[in-house]
Amino acid sequence: MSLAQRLRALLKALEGAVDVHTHLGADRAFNERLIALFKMLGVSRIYASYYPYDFSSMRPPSEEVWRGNEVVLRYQRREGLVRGFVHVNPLNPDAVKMAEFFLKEGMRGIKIYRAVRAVHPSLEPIYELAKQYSVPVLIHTAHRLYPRDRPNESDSRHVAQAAKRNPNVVFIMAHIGGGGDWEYAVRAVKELSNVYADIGGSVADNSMVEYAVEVMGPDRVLFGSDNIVWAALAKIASAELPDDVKAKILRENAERIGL
Amino acid sequence: MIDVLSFVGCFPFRYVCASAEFVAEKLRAWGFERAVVAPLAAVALKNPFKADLEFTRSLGEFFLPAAVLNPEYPGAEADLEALAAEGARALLYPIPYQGFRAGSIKAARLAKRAIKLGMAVLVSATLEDQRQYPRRIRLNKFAMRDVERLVAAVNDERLILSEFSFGEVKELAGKGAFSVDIGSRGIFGPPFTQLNELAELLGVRRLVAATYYPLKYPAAPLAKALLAGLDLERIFVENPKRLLGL
Repeated sequence: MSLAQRLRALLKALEGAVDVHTHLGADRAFNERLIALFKMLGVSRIYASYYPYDFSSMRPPSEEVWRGNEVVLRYQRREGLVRGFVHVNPLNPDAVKMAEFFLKEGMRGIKIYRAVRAVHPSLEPIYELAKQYSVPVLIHTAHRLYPRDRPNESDSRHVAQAAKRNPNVVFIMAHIGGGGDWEYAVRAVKELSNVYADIGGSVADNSMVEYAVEVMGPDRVLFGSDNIVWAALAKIASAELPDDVKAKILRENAERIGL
Repeated sequence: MIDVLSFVGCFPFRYVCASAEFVAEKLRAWGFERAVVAPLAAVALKNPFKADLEFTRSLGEFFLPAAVLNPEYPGAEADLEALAAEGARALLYPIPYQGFRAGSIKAARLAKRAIKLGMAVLVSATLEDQRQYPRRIRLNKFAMRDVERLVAAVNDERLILSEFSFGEVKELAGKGAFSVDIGSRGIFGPPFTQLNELAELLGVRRLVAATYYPLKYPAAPLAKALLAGLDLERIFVENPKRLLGL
């Protein structure tokens, strides 16, 4: 195969994909560029939450979270490609009300960043809401070994604990390639059928996706980029997996959980 | 296409082993015709010469051997010459398990000697993503002030920096000539303009690509260059050929 043919194949690797983990933020030009890039690659849907670094802190006040979610909702209304995940800081007194508002407006999932870990009691009503609306909860996760874990960052074992306590809620353990020990991450949730993992993040170690499939099975691995599009593209294009398994990762698994 | 740095061997802290056959097969599948390769086992040795030598002699046509040397070890220059005579095409300063400083006079002297011998000099900021290190094993990156000294002293495009972030590369720009591996994890964002900014800052002729350690999915650097709309022929073919003297 010539280089040109390989590149053409690379550009087609994401056709029809559902990206379960993206972000849109305060920078409009960036948002437009990201959306154009996904369109160019033939991605059919992206699930976006507000870019957490555009908040003033990891525990943003309610007004900021409302504004951030409104930005995403506007894109959802304007762009057929975009669906929203509502960002929630569960420590805000109106967190449940806000999450419910945006779910009623058509957002399709809930995003938890680093306000609290996945096992924090403040999340229980949010998990209850996710169950009620049958939407997945995407949890920022990292099994980070060095130099240390970050404050209020969920480790995969926290996701596992939350999933055990809430067996009727679908959890998405975010970006196994987001930095940290991805082997540990997928093994920690191996037995939990209500936990899915997305392959996003900038770490593109060879065999990462194959390992996730080997440990979790082909039905619980999801395509996600966390906006690192080159890495997501490379992971799917290079992974040595049968086409039917890639199709599951790219879209079928997401569709099964309502995305 | 040429991969300017990959590794063969096993890492002590993770079962991520790659034989020469495995690496060659993976890279060939994506159209790479040659690859600079370093022995992972040599990275942690005080005196890696014998490991380098055995490794260099064991490789087939596909690979261009890199010599991992500790510039502060007595006889490093003679070792480098012996390895060059055996076919080594590059000198590699990996993350400093060996404890030497990239900014030392000896490190600069050995690097300049390598360039005189027609080799490239590869400097890597970290062996694997630091967030995956075992907590008790503290492996510092080269200090930026030391890298800056090395860049200033060598001042040659054949000095290739790998696994440095976009911000670090920007910091080094203007301190001396060097080239950059676009496969590095900390390059190309978001934001998606990083690679284009890098091309403007250094010129496309200073960009090359590596699959590194642990071996990245080989399509990763291709995907970056493709999405940034950069000239792939130059990054994957012309530049590495020129820098490696092929």
